[in-house]
Amino acid sequence: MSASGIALGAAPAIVAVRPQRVTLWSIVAKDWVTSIGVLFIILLCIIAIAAPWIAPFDPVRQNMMAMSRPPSAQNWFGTDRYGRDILSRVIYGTRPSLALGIAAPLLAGVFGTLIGVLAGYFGGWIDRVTGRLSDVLMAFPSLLIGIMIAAALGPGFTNLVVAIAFAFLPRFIRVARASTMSVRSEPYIDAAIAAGQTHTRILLSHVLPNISGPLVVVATLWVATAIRIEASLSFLGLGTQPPEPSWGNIIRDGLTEMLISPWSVISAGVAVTVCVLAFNMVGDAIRDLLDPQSKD
Amino acid sequence: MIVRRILDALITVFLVLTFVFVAMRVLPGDPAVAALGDYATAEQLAAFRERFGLNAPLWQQYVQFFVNIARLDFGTSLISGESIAMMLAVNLPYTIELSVVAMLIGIVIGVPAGVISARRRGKAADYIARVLALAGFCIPDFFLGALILIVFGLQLDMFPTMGGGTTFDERLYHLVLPAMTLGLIMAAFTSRLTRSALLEVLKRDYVRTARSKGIAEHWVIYRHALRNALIPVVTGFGIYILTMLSGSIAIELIFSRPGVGSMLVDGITARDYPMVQSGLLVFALFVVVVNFSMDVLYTLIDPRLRAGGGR
Amino acid sequence: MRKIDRRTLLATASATAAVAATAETASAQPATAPRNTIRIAVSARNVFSLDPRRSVQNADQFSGRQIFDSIMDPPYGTFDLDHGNIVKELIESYDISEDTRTWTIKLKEGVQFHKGHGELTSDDVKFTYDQMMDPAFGSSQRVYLTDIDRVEAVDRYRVVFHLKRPNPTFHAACLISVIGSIMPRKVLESTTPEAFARAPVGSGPYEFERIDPGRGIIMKAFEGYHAGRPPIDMIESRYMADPTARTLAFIKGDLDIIEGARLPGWVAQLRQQKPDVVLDQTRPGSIKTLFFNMSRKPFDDVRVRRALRYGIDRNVLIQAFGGIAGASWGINPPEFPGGFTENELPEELRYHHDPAKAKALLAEAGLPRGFRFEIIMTQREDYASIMLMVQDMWRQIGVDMTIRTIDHTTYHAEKDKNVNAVVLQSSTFAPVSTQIPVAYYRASAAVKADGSGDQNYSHYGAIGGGGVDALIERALDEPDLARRQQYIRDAELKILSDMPAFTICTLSFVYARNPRLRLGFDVKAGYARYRLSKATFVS
Repeated sequence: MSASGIALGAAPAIVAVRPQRVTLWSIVAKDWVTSIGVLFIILLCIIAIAAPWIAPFDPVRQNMMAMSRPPSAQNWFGTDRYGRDILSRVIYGTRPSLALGIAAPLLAGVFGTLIGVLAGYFGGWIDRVTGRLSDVLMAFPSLLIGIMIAAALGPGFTNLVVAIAFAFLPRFIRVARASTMSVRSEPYIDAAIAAGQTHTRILLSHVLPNISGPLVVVATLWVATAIRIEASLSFLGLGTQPPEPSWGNIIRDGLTEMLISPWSVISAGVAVTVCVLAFNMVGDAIRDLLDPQSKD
Repeated sequence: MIVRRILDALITVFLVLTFVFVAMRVLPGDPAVAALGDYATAEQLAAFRERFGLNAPLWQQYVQFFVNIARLDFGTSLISGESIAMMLAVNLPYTIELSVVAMLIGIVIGVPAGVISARRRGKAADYIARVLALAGFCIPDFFLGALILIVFGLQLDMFPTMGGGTTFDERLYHLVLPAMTLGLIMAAFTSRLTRSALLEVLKRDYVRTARSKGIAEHWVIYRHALRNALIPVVTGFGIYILTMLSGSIAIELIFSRPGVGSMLVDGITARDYPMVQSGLLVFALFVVVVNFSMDVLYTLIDPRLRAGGGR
Repeated sequence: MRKIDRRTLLATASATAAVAATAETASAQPATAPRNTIRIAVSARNVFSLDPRRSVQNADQFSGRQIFDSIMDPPYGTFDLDHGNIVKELIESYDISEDTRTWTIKLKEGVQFHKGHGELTSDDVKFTYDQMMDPAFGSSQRVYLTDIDRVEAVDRYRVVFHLKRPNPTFHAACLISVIGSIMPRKVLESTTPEAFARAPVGSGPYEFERIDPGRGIIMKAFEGYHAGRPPIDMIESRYMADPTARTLAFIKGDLDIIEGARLPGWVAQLRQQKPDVVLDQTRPGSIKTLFFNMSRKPFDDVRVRRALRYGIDRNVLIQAFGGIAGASWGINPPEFPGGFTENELPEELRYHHDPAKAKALLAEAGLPRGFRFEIIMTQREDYASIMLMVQDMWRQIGVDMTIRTIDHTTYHAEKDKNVNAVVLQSSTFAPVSTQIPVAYYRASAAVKADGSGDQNYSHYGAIGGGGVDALIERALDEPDLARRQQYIRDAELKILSDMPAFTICTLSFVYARNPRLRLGFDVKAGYARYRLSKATFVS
């Protein structure tokens, strides 16, 4: 595991690494800690997809006969103020977290790559402007940008994806730009230009394939952060809206009844923590494989 | 050098303010109706829009926005009618004291933990410190805050769970739990950073030379290695301070503390856009100031940069 | 908003009032000295307006009740409107004409306004009412004063209210607090309404001191109060919108009175944590009315509205709130004079929970698979929790309601612009049977898109509802109270059948009180605020 706090805002220290074949197996086989992380992520994905079959109850179904119950054989994590089964809510809560954890870096990756590649390839004023703007955005913690955009757009899943993707955008622009610049200086690009190939063709056939490796790494590194930001925004009331459960809003609701039953706060909180942990471990492992130098 | 950095910071401030302005004009809803309530007449609504300049063309509002900020005129809250400058004057110190104390806790716990971890690399102490750091690194700040609130505020009933206090003692007393929450997370970052920076430095030639000369190990660590290792720690710190600052929003909510974060969240749900605008502004300025001071600090600690220029 | 210990509290006391000597003695023996400040937390984010003419927030009105004396009020802790029992705060006597169209009040002599603003006279009464009735002024109370033709100051202490139509319960609507709060004309004329809203001057037992950013509204005992200085020196009324924060602070002893969280299970949880707590509950409390917007499809169809009504299990709602919620079979709750009890209604208008019937009605209306729609709803806990339960109940009959949560003030502004398909409205009414029908079911009160309408969120009467308007008008023209009630009961039967809206439940206002603080009366009913003029701490 790498020691630097990469997932929190520091720019990943990877620039123009030659693509390598990183298979799922090479990650799993890396060490036992990483294998646990991978297994856990697979488990989370299964839980998210199969939630309707796994969850013992409907996560939004209320039962006023069983309000604020402590954990029991029937409700393993107890029930909340409206008699809803907390375990089922936590299980369904994996859905927005994972969906967002994947969608936001993906969206940021697509747009960030586009902007970064253009800036790095053409240089000049486009490069200076994007450089300047992404510097400004980089200075902000992702959560703060997320709050700003969510405040402007209002809550809702799509808005949340846009907000978080926007927060990640400069990180992708940076990596794409730097990688493109180093590829751009290779002699074969000049050769291709001399041979009369169009810029579009050069970008698609020479540049993109060569820079995809580092971008994939950046994307995996930001999944954990995206999940955490989703939880924070939902906690602040700007993310997933009730009654749909998300780990963040389960904790928010749980705070109002923590005097009697802290179970919803604890179970949802542990879920976010472990999920973020798993994605961090695997993200670090992928980076180590691609860029052995960053290892301590 | 410094002049260039100041210029850079000013451009950043300009861009950030523009960003805030654009974000705020997208906010849905009619602020006039939201502010005046159920029974406002059409005339009152018109008067309100006039007063807050909501009728002017957008470019005029944009210019006015900068003029007002330059005059430290943040307007009044739409909901309460209070002056936002006054509200900031009351709330800002709470956010700052929380961040500063949390940062101190982070350094006091994090740096020694990182040093121990690096010195005992691979041993039990290193293992424990790293696991704890990893936990602190992955646990969401608001969840840690809720746990600390439940355990120390409610079960043990040792510290206040809400508010910020007024007198010095009171404020300190109220700071304990929220600052501990953010401080522990900060300590996790700091110890990871210190550990890796120290390990990096310990590999270097001059440290090896010092060791081979038979200089005592703790002397090597503190005299030579740590000083150099602090450079990346300090730069990394800027990012963490800001991360912590954005974390303070949720912490203020959990502990019902006054602060700029509470103002911001209140403003968002109430669609009190002068308040949201000012909240965002303050955070944005924090970001610029922290980055600027980190840059300057970096130049000061690392003499090589003074000659070389730029990061 | 903050924890206040004895030292700060006393420091403030000595700084603000001339009680430095008391403070010294008190601080010498903190354990036994009687406390001289009541610390309250109300459920709101900010002070909105302490001006009774503009006031919309109960949180503000709680302080307003201490600062302003009202012409009259029901006996404290009750909603008893009987002429024999009424508390005459500012008057010596009052007189009602035979046709109930002329009400004459005789003011007490020598009542002083705070801060040396002189004696309260008929001129101040007339000025206060004239301003509230002036459409240009935009008072939130104007809708309640439509019966008044003019207010006449006969001499220095005598005021006559001339009404447009008979009204045997005029005092319930217009002479008790908050509307009956009299303000000094001189001050109103020399300051702006905005300034007065944040620095009010009244003649009540406590005078406004200042608004402190951390401690809320600070009031101190008015030495010159005409009915005798109150025993407690100071009141601090904090604004804490978060129910959890209020509850925690109360449990830890940092607050003496908190506005309760009207959330399922809250009362039981508080009792468990603090067994000696005193809970002051008003019955029936606020009336929660759920409106169907008949200008929207499919809510224009009576079968759909009835289906939605059958989909709601009122017993579950009431049980969830654990003793603070009550049923209402008709439009008026059974606690009101003339309110229907279950047995008085024909079987088909009792609307027992019946999901099968609901689905059948929906199918009949051409919606066999239900339908979906979106509403906005305030985040305030009582509204939000009721709607969350309704949402779940309607889901069982195939109706999918999406809720977007927004701030309370914003919700009130938005719903008044006809944006919601379903509106939840919560309001406290004096126990007079005409009040709810007039406010919610009259065509002329229909909500309008530009926000200029009133609180008939269904558009009932303007759309459908033939005959109910006529019955309400007939009741309003009738001087005899019993006959007024009968006309309203007839109207209620028609409303229940048309189902434009219904009273989903009543919900008591709950204040949790430090058992050491005695009010001097028991709280049984009334608006969600009470006087602290006789309050004392006991050890």
